[in-house]
Amino acid sequence: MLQFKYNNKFLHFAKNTTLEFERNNPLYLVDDVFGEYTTPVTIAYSEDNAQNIGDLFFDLAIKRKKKFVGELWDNGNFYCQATLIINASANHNTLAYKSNVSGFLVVGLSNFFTAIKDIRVNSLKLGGDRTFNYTTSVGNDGSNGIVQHFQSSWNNTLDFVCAPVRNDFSDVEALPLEWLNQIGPDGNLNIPLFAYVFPRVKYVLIQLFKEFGYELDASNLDGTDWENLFLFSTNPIGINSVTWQEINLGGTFNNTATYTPPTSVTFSLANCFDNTVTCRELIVSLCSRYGWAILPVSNSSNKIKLVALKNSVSGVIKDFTPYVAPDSTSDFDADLKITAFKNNYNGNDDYANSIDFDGYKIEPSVLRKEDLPTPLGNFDYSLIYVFAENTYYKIGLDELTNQRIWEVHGYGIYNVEPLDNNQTIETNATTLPIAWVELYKVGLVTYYGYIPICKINPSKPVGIRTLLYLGMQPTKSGQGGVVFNGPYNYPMLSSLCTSFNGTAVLPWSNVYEHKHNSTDKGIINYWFKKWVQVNSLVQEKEQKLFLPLHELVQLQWNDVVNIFNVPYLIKKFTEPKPYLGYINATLQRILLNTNDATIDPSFTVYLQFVWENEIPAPDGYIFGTHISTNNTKALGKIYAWQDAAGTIQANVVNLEVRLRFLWLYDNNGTITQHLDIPIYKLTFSGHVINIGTINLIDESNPANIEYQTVDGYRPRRGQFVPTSPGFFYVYDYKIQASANYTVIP
Amino acid sequence: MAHTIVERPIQFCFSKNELRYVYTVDGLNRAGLYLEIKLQYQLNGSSIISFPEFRLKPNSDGKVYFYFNQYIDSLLTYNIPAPGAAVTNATNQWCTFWVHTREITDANLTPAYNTHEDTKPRIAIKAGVEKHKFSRNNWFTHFTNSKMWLSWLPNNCFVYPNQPVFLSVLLTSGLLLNHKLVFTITDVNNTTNAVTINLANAEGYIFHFNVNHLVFSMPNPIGTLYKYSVQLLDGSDVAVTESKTFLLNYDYVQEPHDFIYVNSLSGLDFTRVRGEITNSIEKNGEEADGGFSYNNWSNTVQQYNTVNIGQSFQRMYKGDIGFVFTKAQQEAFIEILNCRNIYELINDRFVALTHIGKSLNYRKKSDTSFPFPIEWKLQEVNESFTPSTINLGLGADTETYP
Repeated sequence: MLQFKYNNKFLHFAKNTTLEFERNNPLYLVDDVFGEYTTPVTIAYSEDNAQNIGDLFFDLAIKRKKKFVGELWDNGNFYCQATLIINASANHNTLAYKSNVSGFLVVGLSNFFTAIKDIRVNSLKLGGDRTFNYTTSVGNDGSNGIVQHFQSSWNNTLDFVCAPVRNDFSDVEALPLEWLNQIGPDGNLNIPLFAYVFPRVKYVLIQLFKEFGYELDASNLDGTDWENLFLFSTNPIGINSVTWQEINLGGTFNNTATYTPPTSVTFSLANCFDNTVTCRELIVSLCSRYGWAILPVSNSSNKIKLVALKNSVSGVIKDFTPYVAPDSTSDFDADLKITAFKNNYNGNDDYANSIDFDGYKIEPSVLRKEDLPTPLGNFDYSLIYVFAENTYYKIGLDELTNQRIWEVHGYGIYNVEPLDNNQTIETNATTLPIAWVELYKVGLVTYYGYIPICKINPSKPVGIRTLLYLGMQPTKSGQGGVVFNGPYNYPMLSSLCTSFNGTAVLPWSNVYEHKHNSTDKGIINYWFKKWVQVNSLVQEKEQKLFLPLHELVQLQWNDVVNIFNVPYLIKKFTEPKPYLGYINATLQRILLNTNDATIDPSFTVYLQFVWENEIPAPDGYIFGTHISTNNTKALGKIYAWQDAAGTIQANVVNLEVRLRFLWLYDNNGTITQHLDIPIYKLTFSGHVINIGTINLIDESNPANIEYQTVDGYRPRRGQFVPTSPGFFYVYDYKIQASANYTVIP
Repeated sequence: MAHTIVERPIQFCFSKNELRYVYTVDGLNRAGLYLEIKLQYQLNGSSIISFPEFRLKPNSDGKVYFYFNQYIDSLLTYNIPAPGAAVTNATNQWCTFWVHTREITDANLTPAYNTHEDTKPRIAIKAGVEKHKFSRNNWFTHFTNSKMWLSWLPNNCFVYPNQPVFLSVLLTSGLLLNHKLVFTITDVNNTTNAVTINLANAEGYIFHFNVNHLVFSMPNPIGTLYKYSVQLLDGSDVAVTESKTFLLNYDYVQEPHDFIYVNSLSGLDFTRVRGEITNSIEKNGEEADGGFSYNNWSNTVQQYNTVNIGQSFQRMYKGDIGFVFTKAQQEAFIEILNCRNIYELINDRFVALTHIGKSLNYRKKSDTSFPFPIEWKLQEVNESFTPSTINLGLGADTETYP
């Protein structure tokens, strides 16, 4: 029996209603998110239903799509949170009981994405308004004002960065927009009118999910330096109040601006986003650009994992052979999958275009611009890629001298489309090219650095653009010949991971390909290559899997499913509701041979507690002030093993273990239990730990401590005086069960 | 702001009946308030495993009802003993479970879990009773008072000496510690002897005993039995179960079919089908065109022009268990109709079968004798035939490795 609980009541489905859930693996939905939904469901009219979901049953009601967030129950058991979307009705004017409404249910990620579907990012809080006093315009004077706050973002610890970008857009009517966050000759932020802050991608995503009640676990991306990724914005933050004055010069007028520092400045990271960018578009665009996926931990949890596709095939390998139906069908319509990567950039920037390669010969790349060969006629129809700036150069003509020169043909920030590609990954997110730009002058010397450039009309949407922050980098007096370091370093945003001389500062660049010789720092190589290799086989198999309910609810999309030792990922499945004990799965056969090292074969640690070297102990040893005799003591050790037989040593790191103390009777060999009061929690690393060498602290009563002993021995056995023949008190310990290890005797 | 448990399952509970935790949550006006429940379980002393968290919205009265018996039931499987096993520890038929809980709000998505229920682990048995008979602990109260074996078969059933006869027990102590089976054996001369069989200690809640095997494997000659009774005592000779009596039937039965089946209490029941049986096979497959011989006119062995594909067969049976003496025993066999775990002893192995009857009119009020029609098929599908009369015994791997 299927039930939907809404507003504290259960809706009445028609008798014997059955549904099918279509559930798509988010790992394969890089350009879509609507992954988990049901076949149509019809809800018949009843008084309860009408009271619960409103007037949709009645002909006179104004109809529009309605969402009801509730709970799905299956055979009297809570199954998951779900959203019921009603989008059709059948009505009867006079006999209400002949009416019904119909729609479908969405669960899991689709539930979340349905909730955020049309919500714009700039309507979120993203930390809310941030207000700082205006103190001075000198960013490093320590006065902790708004300018100083923006400049402190250069140390890469805030939720945003405020670093220079050049806008080449030319519009005489507009305010001077040549620079966003210029650097002054003193090396400080020079922002007399406006500042531009670029929110950190990691912060925005975590906050976005949090504002909808979800906890984003992005630990899978740890170590990828994704925290250095920022979202570009051209939305200005006013730093000074401007008052215009019109002065009559005798027939002509001069308009003069007067800048007045405000008392305080308020800004919000949400305002950095265009009005057009929705939460859904932001998430999907970022995921499809970087090969990330949003995975629900379960249908019913508020945890969502952000994983890199390249790290995704590292879940537990599950042997589903016992659950498979013997018959299956396979689909294979190509040799191998060849993937193209495309930008669907929908903002305005004259530089965000694909490069025209037609008619050009691609020469070997060079590391830096000064490595370009002498521009001679033999390169007239050639393009040369300069690695350090991700730019294609071609031969141009200096009209003054009539000499050939190298000039920019285009920036390598756009699509990558291999020949004969048969699948495409598209994204709305792109980046900005970089250029060697004059940053400041000291005396007669000009100092340069690579910074992002754009040609954006600020009155139009900028779209989703991301940049890497490379921290403080040196400025240079030139690119060739005698070069001096500038007196100040500058905060470097870039689409590349390399500094001025092509040396990598971060592990990957923010462009699809960034190649020179055998080096490729591009997104495809870093984020997608492994995933593409794993999924390069075209075979998809449809097979029925008779999964017990507990296997189904614990199934993770990144679990590798072994069927007769052939590995698959579940690409999608349909699940009958009420659950009938099976799913119809579409399985993607995967190649693990090129990525064997990434597979974690669910390594199990076996723990064993043993007593060693039991030796006599003095009278009174066990019961202290009480009199005890015939005492023994022994070394109590916990061993970690890789196998259940306890033959292969395991080395654990900070493994939390709980040890239960047991006080037993040994009556001539018959052991009975007397007391088992404290449970000690200890953390251990390595292969073995002697519990006599550590303090054992009672978890429920920390004041209760079994202190470590001088010789490492713990009491083992003893008799009260007067003794009973053959009757001993025995001290023992038992390792408590845990998900982190298996206990062996 | 807190949540309080107001109901938890009883200490021993059935996975096929309603299981629920009920909580009361206060501070209902908190934005994004959910009660998140992490159901944890442990199977047979192995690692503790958590189900993914369940997130439930409190009702307007602050109540949260977490129903979950399906999840627990799916964890558990039946331990079918080997035909010659005297004692089987049914470790897969129970598990311990408990919950961790926490209140999720927009302001705090990751509060610490309340782990109080760690101290109240519940033990679920893969079993259940009909819904209209179920009322929280009523079966366990009945069980505690009656000390019943996990069997629906009544006392004083007739059994055959060479028939698999199992009794199963639920040990609420979770420990087989110095327990003993006490058999009271009465021979046809009405001489009664008590024989005690000490059982090996073991941890577990459900054990299956092959009592016929134990009785007829006793070292001393026990003569021709008229009946025997069996009772489980603990280390202090306190009765753990009632005494169950079986009457011996030595009638010759031609081609009997001996079944064991799992009953709704997680125990093993049994029967011998001894009435008239119709043996049949169900043949599968289809004919397809194919095959051609170049020299057909000269060949002395003619090639076929059609082939049979997918040809296989299943053994099917239709008959009657035979008359039994009591309505209670006949009623107990209804379990077979609903049972998905029925096995027939064929040679030295229990072979899975499926009951294929869909409905059954089994008794009228005025009946004075009690038959039980039954229709079943072996679950295996074969392409190869072997006469049912041949006993090939069990094989052995005589290779040396590597």
